[in-house]
Amino acid sequence: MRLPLSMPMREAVGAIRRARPPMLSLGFMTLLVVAAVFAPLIAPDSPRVGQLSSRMAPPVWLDGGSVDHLLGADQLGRDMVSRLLFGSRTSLGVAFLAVVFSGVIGTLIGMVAGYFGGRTDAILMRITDVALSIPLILLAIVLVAALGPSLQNVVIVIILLLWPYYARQVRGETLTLRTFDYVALARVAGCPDRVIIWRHILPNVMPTVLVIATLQAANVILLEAALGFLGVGIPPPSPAWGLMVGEGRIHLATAWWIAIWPGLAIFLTVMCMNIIGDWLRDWLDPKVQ
Amino acid sequence: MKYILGRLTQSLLALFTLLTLVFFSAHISGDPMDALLGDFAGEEQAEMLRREYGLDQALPVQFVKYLQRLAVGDLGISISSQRPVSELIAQRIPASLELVFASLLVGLVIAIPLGVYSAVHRGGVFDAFARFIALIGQSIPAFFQGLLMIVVFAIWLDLLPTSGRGGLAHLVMPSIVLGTGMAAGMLRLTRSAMIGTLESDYVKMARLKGLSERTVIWKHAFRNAVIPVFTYSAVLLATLVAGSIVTETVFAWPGLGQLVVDAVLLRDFPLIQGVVLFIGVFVLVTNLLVDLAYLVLDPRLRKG
Repeated sequence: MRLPLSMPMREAVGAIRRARPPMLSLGFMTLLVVAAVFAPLIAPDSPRVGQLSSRMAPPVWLDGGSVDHLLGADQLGRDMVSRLLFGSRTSLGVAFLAVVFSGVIGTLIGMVAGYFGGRTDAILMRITDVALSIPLILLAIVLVAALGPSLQNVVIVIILLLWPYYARQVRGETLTLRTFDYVALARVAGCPDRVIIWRHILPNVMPTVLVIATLQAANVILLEAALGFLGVGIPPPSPAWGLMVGEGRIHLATAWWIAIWPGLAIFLTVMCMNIIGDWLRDWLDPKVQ
Repeated sequence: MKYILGRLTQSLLALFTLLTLVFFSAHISGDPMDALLGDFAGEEQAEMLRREYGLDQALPVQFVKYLQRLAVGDLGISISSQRPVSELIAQRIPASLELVFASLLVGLVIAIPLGVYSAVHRGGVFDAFARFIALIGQSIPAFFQGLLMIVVFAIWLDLLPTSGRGGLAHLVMPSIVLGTGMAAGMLRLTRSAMIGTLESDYVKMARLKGLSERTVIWKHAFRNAVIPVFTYSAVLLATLVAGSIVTETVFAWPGLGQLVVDAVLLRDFPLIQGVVLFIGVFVLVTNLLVDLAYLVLDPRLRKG
């Protein structure tokens, strides 16, 4: 039953492990962040206005491709490279804002609920129970459509939907931390609750928060892209990866590059974030599986 | 008993929150008359229609009336198609169930062998390979995977239809896309459950008795490891209906997910409320049943 391959190949696996996918992912994400920040300087063309003469121009290595549009141009003659670069601002920007704000809100609520316990805890945890039991994408679609599809509203809705994931976990850890001697001693010494939470609880829940944040960033990018794809996210002509895939979908048979490049960009980014998240989890806290 | 009551209250609360959120969010999304009548209709016509649908009343009044109608099972009339919402939902249920069960099957067929093998050969090539597959499944957007498959299997190879519902051929791509999405979580769960049972005493005992490795793995270890995988599948089954929104749109699959998107794009309040409520109830009830099933299966939980 044992695979004969598995023994001698162990070393090969070890070598792949040593090549460190997390480091490659970090490298990729750094490049992407730099590209997003400097998009206006790097991008060869406008991401919003195209020339109809280069409508659906194929990538440079295909017949009819030109160096003007390395990855081709879309249905309105807009340069794919430029749109991808500006699109990274949308994806990363939404992910960053949503993750930071929901992280702050969720962590605060989690710490307060876990530290004080009692009725505060019961009420706050009922709210997270409710929030966690409703399918995320369903509510996101309805809420974004309701508030009106815009960058701002997409971010607000994702924050609203995401904080319970932090609150849940942070509350659990705070419950444990509260029973530790140094917290009890700080209390006996007359340290105010605010200071205990700030100085003793927060630093200890930070690793967990960081891990959730990284993995959630991947989910936010997926969610924002899905909303864009469905046409209920950030409205055109904004360059957003999910929206680009949605718009390129009808040209799939004639100009596959319009939909495939942004799709690939989302896939790679999400995969890198997942790899980094898994690695952080193993590294910061081997107990969590 | 106290647990069951608490769990029931939680489900009801979740249901009410969902209702409230959906009702009020649908109504701040703008006037449905804009979408319904187009640019050329006069204000009088719009006013008449508003009265007909009760949209001229105050929101709280509309909400209470909505709840009253719900209590007798009336989901209202769809604004865009002028047909009962319950009828529109009922029409979509077979397609949704077909896709969901096919995807579940695909997910299990991928996840269980991979999970079991990687647990048995922990740290080997196969384990690394399975981890890689899980990573991809977790990271690839459903719409991207769907489009890639359309390009390859429908456009280049001309093997499968690109969209719609029909025979088995239509079901292949959507169920693979949705199934691989679920497989990642299932694979990880199968692997860790198998590692747990493989290290247990009764598996060691089975080995000591001299049973073949195949019998030990499948008859002893797997039978116990599979329990959490199946409960997880039940939970997934519920979320799948919501999770299939994107996949259904990619393949123009006429299920509930597409109905949600269409309703949102048309600002069809009664339809949005109806479908979201239906899916929400489905998810909540399934989760409730799974939790209660745990109580029946594991007496240790009854005390807590």
